[in-house]
Amino acid sequence: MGAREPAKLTGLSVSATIGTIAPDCARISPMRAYHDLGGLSAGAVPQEEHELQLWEKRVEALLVLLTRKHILRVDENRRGLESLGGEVYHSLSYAERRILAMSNNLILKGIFSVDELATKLAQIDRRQDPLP
Amino acid sequence: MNAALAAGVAAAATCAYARGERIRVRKVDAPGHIRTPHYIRGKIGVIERCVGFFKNPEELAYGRSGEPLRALYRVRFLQSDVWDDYRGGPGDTLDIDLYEHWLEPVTAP
Repeated sequence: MGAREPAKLTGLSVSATIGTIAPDCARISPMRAYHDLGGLSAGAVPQEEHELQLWEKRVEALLVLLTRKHILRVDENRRGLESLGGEVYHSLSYAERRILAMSNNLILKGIFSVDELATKLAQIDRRQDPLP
Repeated sequence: MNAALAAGVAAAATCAYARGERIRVRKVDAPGHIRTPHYIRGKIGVIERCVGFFKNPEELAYGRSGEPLRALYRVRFLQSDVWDDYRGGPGDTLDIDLYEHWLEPVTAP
């Protein structure tokens, strides 16, 4: 996998085209959560190193900050990841699904509104350099 | 540590299971945020140690206090008990941290 751009957040949904590991969903029982993959066949494990891009590091930094400031707990973030739905979850990269779960949680907590986030995303879209 | 947390510690500061005791992981399928892997539910293991007392992540995940604190154990399983097609050594083991409310006593061997 080469360098990739962050998927664009459009409102609350993320459009992503690059797939990640998709488990053999047919073997997952209805009550087995889609993120709970232990023991399922996942094919070959990619061995090449993946250098984190700046925006991916910022996603992790954001989560650390939110946790340290007692705004968001890691357990809440995990619950957010587990609430995206299997199709979205497995189509997004690690950092993409984390920023989406974080966004949903922060809206839920009233840290910002859907409209505020949408307005900011539109501003970023108009920038020459999206990651200054 | 605040008073509520101290009270939580006091309320939960007993480990129901002792080192070496055999337990079965509850075979429960439930929605919600669950830290017990699906593949280990229903399996029998042995208490390796009681790790301590922690807020319940199943509650923390929904913005609640997570109290009272729950005992957390390191439980040891034989790999051959966990995986039907395990091809490693017969003595290979797997340790998993599991909360007490996911464990139940094994009555008969």
